[in-house]
Amino acid sequence: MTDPYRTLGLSPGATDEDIKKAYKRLAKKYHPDVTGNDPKAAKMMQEINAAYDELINHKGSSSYHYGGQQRSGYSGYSGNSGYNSSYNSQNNSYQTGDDEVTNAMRAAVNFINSRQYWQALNALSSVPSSKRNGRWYYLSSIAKSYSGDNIGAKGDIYEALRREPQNEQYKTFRDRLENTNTTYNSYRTTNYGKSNSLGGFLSCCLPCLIYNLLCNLCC
Amino acid sequence: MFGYILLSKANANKQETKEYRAHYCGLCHVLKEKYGKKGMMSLSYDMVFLELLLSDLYDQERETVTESCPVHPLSRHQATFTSASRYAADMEILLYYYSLLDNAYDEKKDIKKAEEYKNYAENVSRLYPREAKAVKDGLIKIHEEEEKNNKDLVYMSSLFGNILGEIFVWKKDDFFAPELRAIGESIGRFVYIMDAWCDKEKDKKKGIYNPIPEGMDKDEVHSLLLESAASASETFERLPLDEYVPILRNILYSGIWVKYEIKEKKND
Repeated sequence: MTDPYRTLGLSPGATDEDIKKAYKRLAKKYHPDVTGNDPKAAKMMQEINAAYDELINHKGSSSYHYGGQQRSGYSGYSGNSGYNSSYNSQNNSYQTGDDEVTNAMRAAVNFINSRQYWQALNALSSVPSSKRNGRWYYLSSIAKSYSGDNIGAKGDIYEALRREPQNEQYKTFRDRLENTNTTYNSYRTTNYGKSNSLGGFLSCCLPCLIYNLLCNLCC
Repeated sequence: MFGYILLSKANANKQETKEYRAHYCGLCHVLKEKYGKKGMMSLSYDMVFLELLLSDLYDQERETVTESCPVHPLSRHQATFTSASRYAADMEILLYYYSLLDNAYDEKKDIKKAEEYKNYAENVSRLYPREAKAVKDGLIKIHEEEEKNNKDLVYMSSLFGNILGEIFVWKKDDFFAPELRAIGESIGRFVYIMDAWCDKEKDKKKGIYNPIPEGMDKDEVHSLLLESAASASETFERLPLDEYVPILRNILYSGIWVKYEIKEKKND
């Protein structure tokens, strides 16, 4: 894959701020909202998106870097062929539970790679409880975290670690999840120290509320 | 909706407050234009947040008008709106209609009022079937679970999270749809828990359902709220935004706690 920095016209080590600005500048040029159905622009936009995804969503941490279709591969599952091909070849002898589990897990990885987190959770839910291992809980934790369910994500990563306490990949992901609250709190206390009062927000639109009340009465 | 996702005025500068207000008035303007006075009544802060987020992310061209509104006829003010305001206005009507229906079921009030919004909601549902389905199915599910007196607060809040998640996704196939869905999911959870927390005493007095389990204390509620707020913010920080970041951050890191803090103060 091409260097994501270069795709965005940046030099390595650019800050998040620079990356976001560069993305915006290019998106204004290539976004389908602007270009319509131009296939060249669409391809360009795909590359820009992939570069952004790489630099912002998976920044610097190979442990939750699963790689997309365009990338060389994801960590943890090396040597496996893609989900689709193995699924097709096994379709005929589709009786043994273990194959189903393997397929569901591969599907989940592919869904995560293509940023379809709900579908990943769906695929995972087809695995019966008795067959859920550490990796199952790890994948579930990732999908939950990217769909906005941090509580569920934490529960699952703890379960993954209960089963495989030494797994470094799981530990890194757990730390990342646990850091979210700390980061939030410290940003909040540093920048938003003033305490809020009722007058502060009501005064802005008290008239509108009164208007609504009046309107309620007359119409 | 509920009005929990708002700006903390105490922590905003003049310029930010002015801009925020212009967008609030802009949404009101669009609601009035599309749905008349009835539309204005559905106006809430929450959808102003969505409008700002979508306008920034998708670089929507803004229109600004100076007008006086029926509420303060003597002072003219600015109203700023974009295409995202139109989307937010439609979603506002949808949520408002279904919340009226909910009241009609629960407390036998607003029945007539819900009837008045039915046509609007049906029009919106035709334009946005995906969102409308999420709202309708989601609220029915919440209603069923409430009937069963389900007190699994995290689960209950996730039902509302699913609804907002769908609503936050303006363009289904866009690259940033997953991030918007995740932010909506987290904020929906936050709003549901906050609403339950703020209504706890009132619901108890009335003897009606409240999702906060007996014995769950303030700290536990706070930690659930924190999880949701932090999760929304973490995703938010990964979006390429450049226009309204200070206002949006103010809302996510401070404004959404305004009502919680006010309740705290009252209890002290």
